[in-house]
Amino acid sequence: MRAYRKREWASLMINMTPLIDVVFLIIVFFIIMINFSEVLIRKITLPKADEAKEIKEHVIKKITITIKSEKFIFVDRKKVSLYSLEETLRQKVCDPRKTTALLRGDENSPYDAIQKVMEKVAFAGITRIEFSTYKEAVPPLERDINDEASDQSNR
Amino acid sequence: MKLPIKATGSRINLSIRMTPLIDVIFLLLIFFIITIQFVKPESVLENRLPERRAQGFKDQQNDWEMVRLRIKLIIKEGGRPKIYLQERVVKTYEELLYYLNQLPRNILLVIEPESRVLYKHVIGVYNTCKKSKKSNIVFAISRE
Repeated sequence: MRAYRKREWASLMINMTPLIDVVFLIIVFFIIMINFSEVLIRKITLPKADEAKEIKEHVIKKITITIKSEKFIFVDRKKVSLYSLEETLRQKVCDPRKTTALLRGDENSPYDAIQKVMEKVAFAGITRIEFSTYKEAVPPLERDINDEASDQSNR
Repeated sequence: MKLPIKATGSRINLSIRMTPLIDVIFLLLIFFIITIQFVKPESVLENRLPERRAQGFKDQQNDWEMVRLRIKLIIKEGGRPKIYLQERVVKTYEELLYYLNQLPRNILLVIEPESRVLYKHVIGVYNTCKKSKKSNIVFAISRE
């Protein structure tokens, strides 16, 4: 009769607990370090314009102004107030005549905010501006109920 | 890490527990799915602002030099925008384009939107002006 010796099975396994600890630590680090201004800048919905041209990458000096409303104005990635916008532009721009201001306005923001920014840009001496848009067909104007009624009566 | 207690020449069960690894991978995957943002390509509409002089802004053109045409954007009741080409009411962008195409190319178009008008409508009008191949399009700016 053959006698079998009792074998002992050793458990060789990777302990995942410290790995999870490290991963969570990295996630917490990223959450803390995340730049919320960047998120806000990207949340802008640009208006649509089919006549828009592609952005010229070779333009040396371009300053990007993102406008969500009068209270949310960013010059490049820095949040500025409307009051200090002109001063910020003057500090950032060495030669205003050779600088282009790229206006990234939210499509649903009132023109008032955009106009005020345009005025500040002009006061800073910048004359070249570009309106950032998506190259898509412009949606039709919302029509007045009176207009629709008059059109139907004409038919 | 657990090491084999007794390596007595017997068979060792080499197994990696996959469950926590998959948990972490899914967690990372969800994190990236939530934070991902697809960037749409952007295009631009070019324009020029008036140059500033010592006394304020320079007039774009004198009245006797160039014909000036005003395009007003006014908000009506209910928040709907209405376009006025001089005194004429324009209902659609297509209608505006039709009238603009009948005008000479060097005419000065002044876009005067009311402050409450949404930016998308201003861009819509400006886009139509660009479509009509007009070279002189300006935005009215206050002198204050």
